[in-house]
Amino acid sequence: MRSALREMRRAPLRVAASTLAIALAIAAMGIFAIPSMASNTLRDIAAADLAAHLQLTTTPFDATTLRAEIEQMDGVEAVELGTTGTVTFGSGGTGGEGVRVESYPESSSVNRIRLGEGRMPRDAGEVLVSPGVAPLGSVLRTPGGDPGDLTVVGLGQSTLSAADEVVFARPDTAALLTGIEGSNTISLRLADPTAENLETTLASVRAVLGSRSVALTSLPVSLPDGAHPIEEGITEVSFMIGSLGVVAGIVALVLLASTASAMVTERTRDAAIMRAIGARRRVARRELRRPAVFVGLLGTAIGLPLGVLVANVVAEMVLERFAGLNPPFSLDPVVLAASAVFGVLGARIVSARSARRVARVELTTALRDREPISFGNRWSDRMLARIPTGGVLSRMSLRSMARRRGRSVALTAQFGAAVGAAVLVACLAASIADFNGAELASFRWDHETTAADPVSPFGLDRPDRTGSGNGAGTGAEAAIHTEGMIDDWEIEVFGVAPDTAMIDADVTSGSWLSPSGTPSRRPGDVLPAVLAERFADQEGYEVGDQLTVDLAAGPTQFEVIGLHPIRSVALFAPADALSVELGTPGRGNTLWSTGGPPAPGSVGAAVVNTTRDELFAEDAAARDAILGIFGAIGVIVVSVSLIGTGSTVAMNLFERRRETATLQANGARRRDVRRLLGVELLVVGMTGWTLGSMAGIAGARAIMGFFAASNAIDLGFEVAWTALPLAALAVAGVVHLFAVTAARGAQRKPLESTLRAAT
Amino acid sequence: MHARESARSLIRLRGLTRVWGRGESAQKALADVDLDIAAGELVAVVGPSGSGKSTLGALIAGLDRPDAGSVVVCGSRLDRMPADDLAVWRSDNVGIVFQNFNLIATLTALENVLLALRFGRRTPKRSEAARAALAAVGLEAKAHRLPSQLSGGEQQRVGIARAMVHRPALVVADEPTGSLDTAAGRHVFELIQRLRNGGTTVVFITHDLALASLADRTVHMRDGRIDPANAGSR
Repeated sequence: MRSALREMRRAPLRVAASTLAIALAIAAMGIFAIPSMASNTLRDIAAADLAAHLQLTTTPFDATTLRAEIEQMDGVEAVELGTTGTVTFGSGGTGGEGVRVESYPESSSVNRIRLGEGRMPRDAGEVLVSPGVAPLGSVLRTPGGDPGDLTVVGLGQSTLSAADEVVFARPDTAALLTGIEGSNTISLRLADPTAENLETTLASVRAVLGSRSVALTSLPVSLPDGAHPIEEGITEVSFMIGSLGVVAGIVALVLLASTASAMVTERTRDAAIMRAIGARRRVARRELRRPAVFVGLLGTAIGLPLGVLVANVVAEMVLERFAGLNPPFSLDPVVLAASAVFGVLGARIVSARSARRVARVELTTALRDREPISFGNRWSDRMLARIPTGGVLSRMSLRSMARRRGRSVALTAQFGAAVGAAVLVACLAASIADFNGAELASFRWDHETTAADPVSPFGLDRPDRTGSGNGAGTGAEAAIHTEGMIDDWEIEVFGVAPDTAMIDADVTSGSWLSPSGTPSRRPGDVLPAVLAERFADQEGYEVGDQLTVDLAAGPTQFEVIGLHPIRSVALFAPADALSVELGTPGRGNTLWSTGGPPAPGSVGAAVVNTTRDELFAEDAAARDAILGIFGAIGVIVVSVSLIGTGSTVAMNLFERRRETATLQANGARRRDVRRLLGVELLVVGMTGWTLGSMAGIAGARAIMGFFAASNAIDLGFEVAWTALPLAALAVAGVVHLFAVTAARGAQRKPLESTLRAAT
Repeated sequence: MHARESARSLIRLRGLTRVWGRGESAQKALADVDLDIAAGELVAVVGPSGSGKSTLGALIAGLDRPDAGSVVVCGSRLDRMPADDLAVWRSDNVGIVFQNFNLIATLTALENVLLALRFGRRTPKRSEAARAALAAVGLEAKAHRLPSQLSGGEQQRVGIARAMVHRPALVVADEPTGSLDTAAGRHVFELIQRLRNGGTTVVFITHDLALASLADRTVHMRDGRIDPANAGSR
């Protein structure tokens, strides 16, 4: 301990740089804790909210007898039947936008609301809203005057509606607001919510609903083992961010290795003296390793709390952004322990090599203060000495790099890591930006009008489909846009007219939907489908294959007749046939238009109007949030690398102080020393740039590939070409800065004592 | 006589003081030293360890600056010269030989010698000049050897070749034979004598009184001062 402290006093800046780098790296690795922290938080919240394990939205039904029937099913712990629908409130409340209304009984055993501010509604004229819908104490004016003005008495949300805008009202108020007679939602909690039990219960509920001619209007939400709906996405993002933390960790260890090497090398004579008076090599090695281990310990001690802080801040950012939740402060003991082991054991391992090397130096050499790093003993050195590579200074530069191979590799790695991290983030940004544009590239509409509720207000038949029957002018087209499941994949299912003008009908193989191939159909018929090519490739579907898609109404058979280049997980089927399958023959739930949305009030149902630009902006906001986090971690990696590079350059200069002093004694000016160091650093920096660029591109490609594979979408990949010359310029700038600083430092040192001194 | 000596002096030191450390730990390495050395002279500086010989040599060679006093060498006032100008001055006017050789480990013997021609005034046919310098010290055959492939005596001969290759007016040799055996030391001293014979002024710092006795003049130093009893004995 004392020797380590003395070492700190000997080279405080170097030790501080290494400690800071280790601390930052350990802090960055704290990101790995986010998945478990988020999962624990989300599951705790879901459990506390009594979140439904299974939630179904259906056509309206009479709740009187259905509740008892479901409650009697095996394993069902609690059932809640409710009402949901979209209501457009008058001005003064939500600004005229359609808002989802959910019924909420006074005492609910499923999907409880977490109250943020205010209180729960007590009478029919009071509602509770999720944050962002309306301020506390404001009044929501109802469209038809019934049930009258509603006062917002509380702000809160439920687990399943997290991040959504919802008005929670008493059941009688909700019924009046939505105009739905009876109920249209079923929320269940099971005693043992395994995936199998949920599957079995869903089948039983479907059977009961079927016997009453009640149809599901959207895919059931199934959350096995108390999971939270957004858990999976957060784990994926956190894992990717944590990977950058590991890069930071490796960079920090490279830095510690070079710091340890310098510390150990400087003590060559100390170790020799110890050995000369009887210490065994093992003892000398332990003594030599001690300062590096101390730096590792110190860095870990600072990095761990910093990591906990970073993890909690990022977890809060992610949960706030994607779920509207404020998680409590927490930590992950496994990640903490692993980070500590990484810091301390890493320091022990990286210092071992230098300690071994120094402990092996011949006593006579070490005690005479000869330079322990020789040049010319290896055949490769002698070969290099025979190669004329420019002038004397250039030769010196290149051979010095070969002489201190470890240091050169460390510097290259540090430059490479900085460039790699920057290029990786830039490529991710370019790829995601490209995907956001390309995702919508197959669509030709400017406006999408979607029914807010599971109703189908648009006529699919001509002339309604393209005419004024749907409340829009020419250039409009009715369609179906719904969701389905293929195995465990969620898929967007589009019902479109075969001669649609709103979708790019070019296929990469097979054929597009045929106008003559969709005669009148009955439920259960096999429907022709054009499938997204990327998804088909990943899941092994080919033209001619049949596949089953679970739609809200039940399983539906499709035959793949073509593959489409659309980059999301999507399937196109004839709209009229699909409408039959969905139980709404001749009706669609979506209207695409190029000439503007339908006139307000012309559709006869609550609708959501979205422009293409809005969709793009929405994607861009999510992209920016993810990239912001990636960028922040990237900045940590770049910082750690730069600290490492600076520290390694300083050590390099320190070790070569006699060499530079000799040059100066022979007439070298500051610019000559700067040139010598600059050439060396430029070669190392540009090698690092090359390797880092390659690694950054490969890493970004791998990350995008991982996301693409785990989502079965064609994310594509864009190399951020402009980032590469910028990174090269940055490397050149850093090299210049280091060379200038180092040359200035070299000139300040007294030549006489340096030239006379030992190594 | 002093004035006449000064007029033809290559080196003129007045009131030279150099202090190492600060405060209580401050130690005077040189205290008010005056010295003149004429052009073409071979002067040996002797004295016990810590007497200030090497500090004196470093100040004459422009490797260090005094805390007080003036250093005029080859007509240039060194104590006021900026670092870069001093570097240029060194490359043009002085050759330095070190006890520990201070060869660049990654450069061959020839390249080490070439180094001295790299920074100063333009020298035509540098490579030939460097080879000639190596030949003069008997190492032409080992021109492409790295320092680690040379013996101590050979390394010091490379050091001498490097010091003389640009034909400086002054060579400062700080204990050049200190790390060598007797025979190699003799050989090195002969080379230094040859330099003097060629007209170069040589300041030769040594512990070896026998070698010092072969110089034109010997300056004895003690406790940072020139011993008045032996100031310039011949």
